[in-house]
Amino acid sequence: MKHSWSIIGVTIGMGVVFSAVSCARLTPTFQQCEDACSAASRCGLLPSALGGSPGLSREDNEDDCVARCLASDRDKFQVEGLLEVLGEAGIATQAPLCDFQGTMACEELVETLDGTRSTSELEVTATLTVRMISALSEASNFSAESWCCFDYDREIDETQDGNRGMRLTADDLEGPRNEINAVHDMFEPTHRCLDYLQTQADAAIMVFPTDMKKGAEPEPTPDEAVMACGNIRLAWDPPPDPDVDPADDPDLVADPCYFARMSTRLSDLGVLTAVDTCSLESMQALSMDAGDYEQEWGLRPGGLLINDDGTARSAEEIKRSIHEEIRDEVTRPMGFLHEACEELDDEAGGSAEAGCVLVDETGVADENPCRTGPACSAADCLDETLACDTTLCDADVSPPGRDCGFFGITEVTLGYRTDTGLEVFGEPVSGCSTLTSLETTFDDVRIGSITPIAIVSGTLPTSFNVEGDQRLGDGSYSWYVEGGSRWVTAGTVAMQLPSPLLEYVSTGYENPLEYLGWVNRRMPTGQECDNQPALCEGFFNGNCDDGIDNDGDGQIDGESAWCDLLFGELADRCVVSEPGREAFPDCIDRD
Amino acid sequence: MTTIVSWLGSLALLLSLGGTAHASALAEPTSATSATSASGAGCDVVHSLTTLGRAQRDLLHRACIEGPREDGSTYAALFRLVSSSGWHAGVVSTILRRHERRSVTAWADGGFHSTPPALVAQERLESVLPKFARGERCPELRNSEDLAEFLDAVGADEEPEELPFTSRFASCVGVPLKAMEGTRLLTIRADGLVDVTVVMGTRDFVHARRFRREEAVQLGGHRFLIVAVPEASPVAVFANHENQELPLAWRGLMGRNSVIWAAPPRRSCLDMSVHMNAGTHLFIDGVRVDGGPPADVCDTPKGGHGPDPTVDRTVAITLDRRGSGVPDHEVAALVCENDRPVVRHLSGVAATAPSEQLRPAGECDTLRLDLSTPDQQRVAVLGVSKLPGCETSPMWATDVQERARHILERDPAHRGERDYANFSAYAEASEALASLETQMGGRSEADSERGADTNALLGSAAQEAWRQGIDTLLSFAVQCTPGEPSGKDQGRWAYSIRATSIHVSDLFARGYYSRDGLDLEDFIDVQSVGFGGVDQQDAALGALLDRIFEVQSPRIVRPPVDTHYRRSQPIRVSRVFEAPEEKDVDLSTPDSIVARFRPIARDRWTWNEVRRGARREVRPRACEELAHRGARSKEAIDAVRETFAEPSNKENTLTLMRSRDRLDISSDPGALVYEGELFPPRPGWYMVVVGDTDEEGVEDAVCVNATAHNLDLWGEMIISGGPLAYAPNGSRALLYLRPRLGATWYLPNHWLGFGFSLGYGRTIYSGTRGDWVDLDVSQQENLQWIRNALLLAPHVEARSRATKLPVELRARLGVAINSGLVDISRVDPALVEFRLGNDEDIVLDLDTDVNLDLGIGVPLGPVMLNIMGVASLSAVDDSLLRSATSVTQDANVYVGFGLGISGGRQ
Repeated sequence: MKHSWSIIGVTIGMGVVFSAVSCARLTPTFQQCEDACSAASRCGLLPSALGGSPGLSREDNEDDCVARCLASDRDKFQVEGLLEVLGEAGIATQAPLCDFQGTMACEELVETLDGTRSTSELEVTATLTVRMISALSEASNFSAESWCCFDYDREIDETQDGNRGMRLTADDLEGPRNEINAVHDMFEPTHRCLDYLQTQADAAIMVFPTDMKKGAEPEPTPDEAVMACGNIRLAWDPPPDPDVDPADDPDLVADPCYFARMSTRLSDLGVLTAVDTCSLESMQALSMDAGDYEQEWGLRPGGLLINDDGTARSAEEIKRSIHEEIRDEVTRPMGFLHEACEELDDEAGGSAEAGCVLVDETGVADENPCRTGPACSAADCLDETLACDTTLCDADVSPPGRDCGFFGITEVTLGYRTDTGLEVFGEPVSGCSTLTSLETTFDDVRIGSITPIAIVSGTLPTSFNVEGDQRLGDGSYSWYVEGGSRWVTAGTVAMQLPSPLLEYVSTGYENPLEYLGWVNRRMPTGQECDNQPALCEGFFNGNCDDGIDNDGDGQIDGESAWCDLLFGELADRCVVSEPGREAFPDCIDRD
Repeated sequence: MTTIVSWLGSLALLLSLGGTAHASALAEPTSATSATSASGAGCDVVHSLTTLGRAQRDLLHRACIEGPREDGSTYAALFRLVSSSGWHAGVVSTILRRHERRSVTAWADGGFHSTPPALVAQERLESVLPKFARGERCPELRNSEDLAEFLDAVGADEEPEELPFTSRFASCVGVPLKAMEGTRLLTIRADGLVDVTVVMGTRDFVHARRFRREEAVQLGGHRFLIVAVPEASPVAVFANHENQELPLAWRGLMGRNSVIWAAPPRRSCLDMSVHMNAGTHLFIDGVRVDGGPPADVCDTPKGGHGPDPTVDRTVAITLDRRGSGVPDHEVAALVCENDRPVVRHLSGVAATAPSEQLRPAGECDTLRLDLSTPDQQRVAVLGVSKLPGCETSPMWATDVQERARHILERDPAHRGERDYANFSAYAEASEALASLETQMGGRSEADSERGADTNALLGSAAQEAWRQGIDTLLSFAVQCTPGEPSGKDQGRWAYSIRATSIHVSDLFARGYYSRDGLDLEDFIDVQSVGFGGVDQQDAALGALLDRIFEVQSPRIVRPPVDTHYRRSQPIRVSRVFEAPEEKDVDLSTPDSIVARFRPIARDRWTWNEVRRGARREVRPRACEELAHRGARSKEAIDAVRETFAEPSNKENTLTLMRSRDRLDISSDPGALVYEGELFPPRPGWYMVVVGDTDEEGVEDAVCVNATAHNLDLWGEMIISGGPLAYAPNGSRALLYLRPRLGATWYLPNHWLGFGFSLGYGRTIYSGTRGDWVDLDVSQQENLQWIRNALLLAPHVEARSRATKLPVELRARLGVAINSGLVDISRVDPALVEFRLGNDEDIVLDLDTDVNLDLGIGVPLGPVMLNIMGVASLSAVDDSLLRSATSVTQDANVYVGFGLGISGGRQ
């Protein structure tokens, strides 16, 4: 018995001695580790060498970081540096990456880690998956309410702003940016212009003999017709008034065709040619075309834009009408977002109007306070954490197969762009229209603000040809598409960008003149245009008559929307911004 | 066949020992002549006449007291006497002397007839013989040379060549020739004889004639009686010599004229040493030799007067050559039973011997008899017979006799009450008894006719035993029955010992010699006991003896064998209940009895005991004396009584139910076996006692050893890892497998042991680094490194041995030397610090583990299934806080589960 107790005693003694020896090394305190790992976690530095594993939630990663920290040798040079830098980062907010200031602080922390000798070894990277999804997926999942409740007071697609994390609103601009108001003064003069052209052409037609025999000697142009043609010329191309400063606003009363002369489409009228000829036929054509455009553009009295008395309808009335038309188009059966809008209506009680009111009152941002933050990982989605954007958690996305078919896309090259402008592309992916998933994964992506980008190549179908015109080129294009920028945290991250269709549709809706058909719809531009605005094809670069597709959008010269002078006017009115240039740099309130 | 032959041989021998007998009833001549009274004093000797039936003895006893009658009954009795061997006819002399009758003649038909020719001749002779002696009658013959030569030969104590007293002599002295037809003359040398009685018998009559000394004729200085007797009739002559205590006797058939005692019979002596109860009358040849007061046997109060007397004296007896006609002597002892004299003892002493064996007169034969009621019942075992089938059984049955002797001499239930006696006449008696048993065992309708033979056999064997003071004769027969060839009893044997006992003392005390028509079955008791193993032989034999002698104290049979403490220990108690004396009252026996048991507190273990205990159990000293189940130790039982007299709450009771097993069913309804199962609370020694009553008393005790294996061999498989592994900085142990084989040696207390194990540990680590190292490696998929280890672990183990629960709780604490090879082939080479700078994919690592295993053992037959829960602190030499900071930092706390199997061996 005595021997048994001796054996037990020796056993316990050995255990105690071993444990004492093994615990002799110093480790950081729990508070030190918690502070350091908290900062690392908040700034998305986990999982990394500091702790955590891909697939774990933020909380688990932070716990693992603390555990690793607690097991580290405090006296080690690197550990000491990490504790110091991370511990003094001063990341106060729980979700710094959900706001601009916090994001800046995290950027500063990352820069400090990189710049400190003891911590410069620390590599914090992510495995980034860039995925292109259909315009429908993007719209229905992330901006259904904007589409279903179309309103010029806000953007349909925030990606239009170029930075999803820094969404611009009307309040961010110098003044209210109401597209209808911006172009409202164009409606009545243009109506009067076209109406005058048609009236004068009709007057000339009336004086031409109507029974001229074939082969007979042409009769001289009646004077009344000559007068009418002269009037038309004078209205279309009035002589410059030396008393008027060209920099001043045009006198639209005196010159109602001021905007009509800018329009590339109205150039099809051939007004000057017609008045030069001043024949019955030319006048008939001018009258007919002017009437058609007046009808097409909603400029007939009682039309969308013009009252019965020939005056322009009020901007609110026009806006309401356009809103209804666009909303009806989006939500109609078989429409673009029929199902998504129906769900929205159901949530609001079955009424589309009520649904839009509800959206206006509640706002989306309240439900997702970190909408501009990094996308939640799958584990974070389960944790329902508020330190990341949860919109991707429940997203039901579909590949852009139909969109690719719509645009004739044959190859997509996905990539990302860092906040330093570094663009990294993956391998091109072909067969977009048949793929069930269109994505590319990039390893070792350093964390920071990342923008998903893609180069989309293909050939525009003939449906994009201007009606009645022959395409100037083969229609091949190479568009540069980018999604919203986000802060990419360490670990496994997915970013997605919509197909070009979404931009195409949204820009068409958001520009009233594009919607009304006054100008051609803008197409996505190529990478060259974005990188070098001088290569963009437009009147502002003076390359609209060189017969070259300068920006790779598949359209040459006049086929490009930006070769229409009206776009210049729209840019001036801050309705659109020139490609490759800063948005709305000198917009002024024209109201 | 052998038995029959030996039985016949024995019978012949016994007959030869009997021989012919003469009787003389001339003792107490003085008193006899004056003591003719109604008192039976001196007549009790008639009750020793075993030749006669009870009625004839009563007739003669009455004749002795009241005087002889001459009727047919008397004729039958007397003719029986004169025809028998021995001295029995001499009792006629006593009767004639008591009533001063010269002769008595009894006719077979009880009527009156004319004097037979022999008696006519006798009358004539008696009238003329004095004249012849004086030469007045037939002087030529008186003076003839033949007579002179005859007298010379007599004077020289030699047998005469010629006999002068013949038919010619009868004719010469005037006996009618017709009277001599069919008559022969018997010449008796009567020198020194004071009283001679001649008894003769024919099929018609019996005649006894008493001669006084003066009636003898004197010729040449010698005295002769010339008696005419019928030819071919049995004749017995009894004469009382003036110098001798015992009478002379002669008997024979008178084929021709004869002379007896011409040469006096040779003498010898008998050195008697007879111990008997007071009131016992001892006779030799009808002469009382015990020296007691002259009184009837039944006149003496039971128990006698004073202490038991011892007859220690020397008596002159006749010991002549064969053919001399001298009958054997008979020693008889009479006691009073039920107011009636009965023969307590009867035995013969040879009166003749071959010439070469005749010893000088001074050399006495020895007669040692113990006729007293012994303080202890003396028991002799005649033998043991093994019935067919026992030759191939494991039991050695031959030593049953010695085992019985051991029990009788030592067992408290028998010691003091019975004594084992050495039976010197073993051979003869056993054969006779075996024959007897054979006859009785195969008794049939025809056996009733063999009653006399049976009695004779019984008499031969038992009488000899009785003579040697043996009260009970035992004979054992062992039966061995193999188990069913195709059953669970295959290879097992069942044994049965049958004891045939003859209670000789009862037999003789109740008048066996008196030919009272006793039922021999009353004296033969057959008991049997069955048992199932050789080790139970002593206990079974003890129970058998208990049954034979009706010992009512219980006896624990079936000595407990060392049995695993998880198994029950059968306790069997044999008990005999005495049948009520009233025959119409049924025997009431309980269906159950209660035994008690308590654990035995051990003395402090010595180191030597511990060492020995590792190999085998050490029997406590208190149990040493209780081990033998045959002859129990009185001292040990007394010690147990003292122990159990102390109140203790550790005491438990065990109910034993009456066994209905075929081996336990006895023909004796009072002989029962009770059986119960003892479930020991835990390993160790237990003392089980049974008493006369259920709640108290200790009559028998036995020690039960509930054994536990000293060595436990075990194997187990433990699995842990994943959520069951813990380290403060997160466990990376995805899977931990630990198969082990071990051995545990238990201390004698059975619950604590020590041992060692040899095992293999496989740990699959999966995860990331455990600390901030290799910062330039951002993240990886889960790393995996595998540790294969050899585990050598001494341990201490404790286990609950209580059987109250059907399972056992086990705990094992050990320290393992963990020699591991770590496979790091799947660890990113970029993790330089984590790999400890190893370029190779195999890393040697030595650690120390502390293992605590807790389990529940479920007994499954001979093995135990162990459901284990383990807590293991691996690599205590590494820092638990810094687990997995490198590929060799293995500190983890494992909580796991496992299964094991263990089995022990002694």
